[in-house]
Amino acid sequence: MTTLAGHQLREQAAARAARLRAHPLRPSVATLALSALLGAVVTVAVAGPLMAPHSESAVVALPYEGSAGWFGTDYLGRDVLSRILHGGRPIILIPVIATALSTLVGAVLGVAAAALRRDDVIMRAIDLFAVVPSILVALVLFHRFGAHPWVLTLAVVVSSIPFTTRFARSAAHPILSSGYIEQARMIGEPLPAILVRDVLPNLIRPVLADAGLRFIGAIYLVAAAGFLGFGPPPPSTDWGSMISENIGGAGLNPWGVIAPSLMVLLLTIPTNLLADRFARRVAR
Amino acid sequence: MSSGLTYAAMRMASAIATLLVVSVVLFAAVDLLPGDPAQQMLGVNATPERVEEVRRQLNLDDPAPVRYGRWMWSLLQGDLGESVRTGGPVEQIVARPALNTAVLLVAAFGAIVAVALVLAALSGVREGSRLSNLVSLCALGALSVPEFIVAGILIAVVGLELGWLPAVSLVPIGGTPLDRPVILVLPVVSLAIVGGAFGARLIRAAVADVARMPHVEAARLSGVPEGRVILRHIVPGAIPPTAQVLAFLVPFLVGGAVVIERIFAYPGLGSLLVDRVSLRDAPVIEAVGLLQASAVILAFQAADVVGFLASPSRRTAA
Repeated sequence: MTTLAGHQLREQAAARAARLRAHPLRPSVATLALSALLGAVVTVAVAGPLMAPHSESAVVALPYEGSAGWFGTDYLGRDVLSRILHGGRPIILIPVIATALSTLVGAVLGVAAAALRRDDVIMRAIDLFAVVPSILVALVLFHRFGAHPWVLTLAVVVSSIPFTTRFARSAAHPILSSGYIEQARMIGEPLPAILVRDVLPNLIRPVLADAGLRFIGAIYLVAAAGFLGFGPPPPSTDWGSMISENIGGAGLNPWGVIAPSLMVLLLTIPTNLLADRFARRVAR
Repeated sequence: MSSGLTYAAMRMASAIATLLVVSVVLFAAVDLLPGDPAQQMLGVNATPERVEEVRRQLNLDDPAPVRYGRWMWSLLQGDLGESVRTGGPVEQIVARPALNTAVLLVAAFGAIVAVALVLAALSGVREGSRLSNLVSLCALGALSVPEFIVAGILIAVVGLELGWLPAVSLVPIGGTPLDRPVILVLPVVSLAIVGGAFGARLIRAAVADVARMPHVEAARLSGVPEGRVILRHIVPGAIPPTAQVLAFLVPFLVGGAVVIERIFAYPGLGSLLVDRVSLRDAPVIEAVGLLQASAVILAFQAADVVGFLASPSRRTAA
């Protein structure tokens, strides 16, 4: 009798996961357009160095020459377009790597906190770190290790983990206390098997939705670090660094500031709108 | 009322405990992580004797807990140590920037609360209406824009092109920002656009949650007029979550202010922090970090107290 009821509940769980798989979210026109835009920006950022007409350090004209090339030249007379194409990789790659890492760590910690039912200790420790602004975490780490890309990655991971953990815990909590999990536990299924087979499939979508939000925070932090002068070592650059490099000559060649600002916006706005749509569908 | 006092005392104790833990982590991160601060300060060309001298000067050879204990002990006596780069007591280096940042943060927080409440009201009045959707879409767009880009646009257009407001926020020597309040306008607007959008979305969600609760529905069904439903049933329930949202804006503001102060050359804690990180001036970094963390912790505790005072269950119990 118990096993029969257990089977029924187990089937419900499988059905819930299967339903989510069988009905992929049907994208609307707006979603497709935003995805295409985001895809184009990411392509430009990742493949940019291959397309650039000049190297990132080549001086092609006088400083702040507005008429040279598409976007003129920067404060040292380098081609702004080429530097835009060279400066996209760090602002995409660091957030991608850092978001993947922090989502993974957060999911493990969050599910562990929810599964062990002793979450107050873990969550209290985690909450302590949520009070520290991410830019402070980054600056303290720069103080110790210098402004290397991997230090920036670490800063993003450290400042995201409190949020990914808290989110994974709150997403895992209702799943873990639902009937089919209680049942599986009572008939003595080992906890790891339950977590992998029953909890994980139902957890992936909300956690991905949250990762979208964390990704935006990561782009912000990388751009802000570059802007504050903690970007890649010269002559390398990223879009955040370019804004502060060229702001002094904005009156002579405004494109030196406008072009990198636009690239950051073309990255953050579609990402945010897409993450919001995805999060709302998942919540439904 | 005694329950209120007990609660306040408990909050106070938890704030102090949190601050202590944060101070340990901050001290560990700034002072103890691998690497030799003396070597890093002096660069690779320094003579070993000079490195040794600086190590002694910084007491780097003492065990870590002793150094933390010494730092904490003098901190409690109001002594934040000496700058290792420019000399002089840290509390003097930090005092004026802290005041300037406090002025900026209070002004920006006030502006954000105003913007957020108006936007939340506009979009929350009738959920699903065209106005509501437009406001929340614009808010979502606005909060995707990093503050330094907003600031860059404002400087270029309002500051340089139109010349209406100063593009650089220099504080008069020996004075406070309030001697020339006009320098605060652009920094505050930069922070308030993004923060206001962020706050509006969260406050709206909090209010909508309360508005959907059964007791609100029950009040409506039993014929309580709509104005009274909002004032008596929705607003009191929405105060605690709104206070939490506003507290969440504080770490966002403290972090945003670092970047904004930099772009406007505003002499606050953020500008100081960025300068001292470049100089590797550990005592000043620790002091600024502790001040920023205290501001955030204070905000969260204040939100908890407001939530406690406003909670309807307490009102009925009293």
